[in-house]
Amino acid sequence: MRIWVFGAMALVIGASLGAISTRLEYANLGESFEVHGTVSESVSTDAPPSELVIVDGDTKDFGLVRYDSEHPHVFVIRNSGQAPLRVTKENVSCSLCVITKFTSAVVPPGETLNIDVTLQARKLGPKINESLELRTSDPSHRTVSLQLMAYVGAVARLSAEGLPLGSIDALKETTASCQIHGYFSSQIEIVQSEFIHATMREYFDFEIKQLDIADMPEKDPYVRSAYELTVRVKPGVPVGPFRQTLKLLARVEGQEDTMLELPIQGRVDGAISFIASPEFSPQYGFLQGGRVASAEGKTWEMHVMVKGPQHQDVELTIDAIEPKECLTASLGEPKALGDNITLHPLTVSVPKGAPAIARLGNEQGDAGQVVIKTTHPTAKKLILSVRFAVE
Amino acid sequence: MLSTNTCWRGIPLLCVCLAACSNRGQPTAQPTGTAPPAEVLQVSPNVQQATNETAAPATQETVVPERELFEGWAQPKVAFVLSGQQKGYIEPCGCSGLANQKGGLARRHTLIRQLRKRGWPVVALDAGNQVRRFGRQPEAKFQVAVDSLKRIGYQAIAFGDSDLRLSAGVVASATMPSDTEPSPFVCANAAVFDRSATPQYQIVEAGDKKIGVTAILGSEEQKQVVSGEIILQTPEAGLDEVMPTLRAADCDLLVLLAHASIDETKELARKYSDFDLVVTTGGRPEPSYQPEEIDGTKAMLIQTGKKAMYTVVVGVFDDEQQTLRYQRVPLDARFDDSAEMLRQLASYQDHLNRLGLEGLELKPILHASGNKYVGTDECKECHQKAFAVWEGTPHASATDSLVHPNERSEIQRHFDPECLSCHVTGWNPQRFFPYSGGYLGLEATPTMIGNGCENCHGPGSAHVAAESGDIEVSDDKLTELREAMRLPLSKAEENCQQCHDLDNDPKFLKEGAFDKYWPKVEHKGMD
Repeated sequence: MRIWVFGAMALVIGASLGAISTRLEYANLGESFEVHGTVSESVSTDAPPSELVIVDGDTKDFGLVRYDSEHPHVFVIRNSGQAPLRVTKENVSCSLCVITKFTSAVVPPGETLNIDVTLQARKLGPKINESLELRTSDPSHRTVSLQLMAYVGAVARLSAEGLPLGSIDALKETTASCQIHGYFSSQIEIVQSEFIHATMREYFDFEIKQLDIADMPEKDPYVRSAYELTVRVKPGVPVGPFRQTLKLLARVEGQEDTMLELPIQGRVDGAISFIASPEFSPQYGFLQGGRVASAEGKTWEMHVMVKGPQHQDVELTIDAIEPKECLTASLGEPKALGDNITLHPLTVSVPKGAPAIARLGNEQGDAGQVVIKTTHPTAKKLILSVRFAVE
Repeated sequence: MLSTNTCWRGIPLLCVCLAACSNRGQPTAQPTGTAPPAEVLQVSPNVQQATNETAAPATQETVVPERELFEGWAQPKVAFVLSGQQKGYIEPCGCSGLANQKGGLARRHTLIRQLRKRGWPVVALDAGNQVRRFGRQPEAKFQVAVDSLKRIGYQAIAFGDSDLRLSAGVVASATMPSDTEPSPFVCANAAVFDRSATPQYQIVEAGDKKIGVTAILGSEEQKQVVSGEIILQTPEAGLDEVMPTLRAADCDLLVLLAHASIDETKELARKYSDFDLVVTTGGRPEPSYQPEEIDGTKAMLIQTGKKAMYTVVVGVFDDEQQTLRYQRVPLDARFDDSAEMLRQLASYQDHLNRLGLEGLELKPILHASGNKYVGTDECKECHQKAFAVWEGTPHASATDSLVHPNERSEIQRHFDPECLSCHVTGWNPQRFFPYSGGYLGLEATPTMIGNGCENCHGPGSAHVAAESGDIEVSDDKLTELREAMRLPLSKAEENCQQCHDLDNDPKFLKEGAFDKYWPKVEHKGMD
């Protein structure tokens, strides 16, 4: 019984002291800068030095590898000094990619230490550069970083994550290109292709042309086959943003088929358009203001972009705001950007203290509106819908 | 009254508590500089127990010096805080526990605030790529990331190639100077809409130092930027324009932020040898422990690493022996969350909520099989035993863990497609969009809550229609549809890894892990 009483007391006291200690530590600045999970020893500093030499280099490059393959290597460290050399594993850059059982060792003078490491290609890369970091007792090599490098190849891979085209001219054809690279064969066959968004399919086309591997840049030395993939956006795309994805099924003899997906996005601007934070939806033409606390109010900073030869001559004025009692809007000083663009700052606000209202563009109430009048010869009026509610 | 079992279970806790108190009483290695004592915390001195697989036996204990953050640092004249390649990781996702993950704006802000509170003149610089991917969600994330960096007080931010793949309007809106606020964005050779829209350099004053900062977007990185609205020059052309002005500015220090490969960064540093600090995003996944030199230059090379798991702090000292000191800082759980940044993260989630899937331009796409998702309740009708197993697994409450998160619990995540894709039924787990019939909202599609049967077995509309008699099919077709729903164990592991991936569940990828996890969800046969 007595031992349980003692135990319980020790538990309470221990927990309390721990909590107080922690609280004291974290009450002041700098509490986050402690040593973190490392080890320390104290020894006289006038001991003779150890001296670390990495035999055959601190970097191993495995070259072209396949995803999920394993690649063993042995790093050799020699102690060329007169005192024992302590080597301790500090960290690996990726615990799934750099596999080693080594934790720490003491290397006598003149002896060597073998550190077995396996690189597992668990990242798609293509370039993999992982490290095993060691702490040592050599004063001139307190930390040592052993590097494991590789290049992860693929049956077929696109050189770009996608084609974000930005603003395109609706009257002209737009093209953009990227490359298809193959790493394990000199030939890739595209056996299926599809633009997946059916409603926009008519505006898209593509062609693939094989490239001479000799023309490939030196920086991708492992590519064995390369193709230029050119996507065409035909004239006539409607005003507004558009998205499309091209899916290609790539086949190489003796390998599993690979699906390639190339997202494409862009937009067709009118002569005058809004540019703004993602709260403005160019696709649907409204500002998604959301619910606003009356006591706090809310402000959105936007721009009206005027493009074309008359861009500097076009004047803008706020023509109407609805509902006036809880929405304000003002235009700032226009700023010309180069020869073709002028930006007019536009600030839209729900002022503090605005009365409660629901203008979320649903059955509870239509969206609010800011109407901008312009002197542009064709785009006379610009309407910004604002979906918001004041609570 | 405690049971015997409970008491026994309490013993390890008691030991932990006593050990914790005991450890705190241990003597601690003293820092050699003037850093406050509060930074020094004792750790377990367990070298004697360390295993030695390959080396000869120890004959004499030697010193492995303890490494502390800012060990031996006096008050620097300037403290550079250097980051880059955040690539959308504005916070660790938390799937495997925040304590096990590094990075995030909330911790980075705390580090910077602590340095400032010490009286260190902090100059925070970022080498670009706030996001990865392009589309509406990365645009929303870019906006919140930039706003956060401004709030943290970043003085210069470079463009990364991912940043410049977003809609030019969004990038311009977030990065251009306004009438009242200068822009921290800087790039010598890239700008949005027009060269004049982005400053080519910044002059920053901190401590008693005048610091010139410029940035470049590398040649290879430029190939990822195809929009005609982004104005690009070669890095050399940009630097040729900037350097005369920077040299004439009589700065104490010059910094280059290079969003480029490490080789190109080094080439540029050699060609423009004025720089004291050269920061590159093109290096290893983690910044090096020690600063690196660039042959033939005076510059210190800094690698930012990837995903902003670390920052590097470089102190500038009036010390002829060592003008610059280097410290890699892992942004781990030792750094508390900044309340202001948590508000930013909450605001981002609120923003996603307001945009909705429509505003994010995420429309359901028909699954490659041609079938639609029908929901776990439909499966339950026939597969009751399998359903009972599923119901007892965390898969069943996967959505609930977004609505009521265990950590950072005040921030709900069930409007975030990057979270939803693995926490609901009927989404593409790696590309963050819904399939036809898949989850659209808690109320809109209640049967798609949880990581349901079809996420592994595929959309079941044809199978269900055939089994229920809604469509008439031959026996062969019926069998074919049943077979199509089977997931052989040989393929299950790969399927699981779509969500249990390197980012979100690294333990799952360890050797033998699947064999350990599988029995927890195992179900056989059609019952």
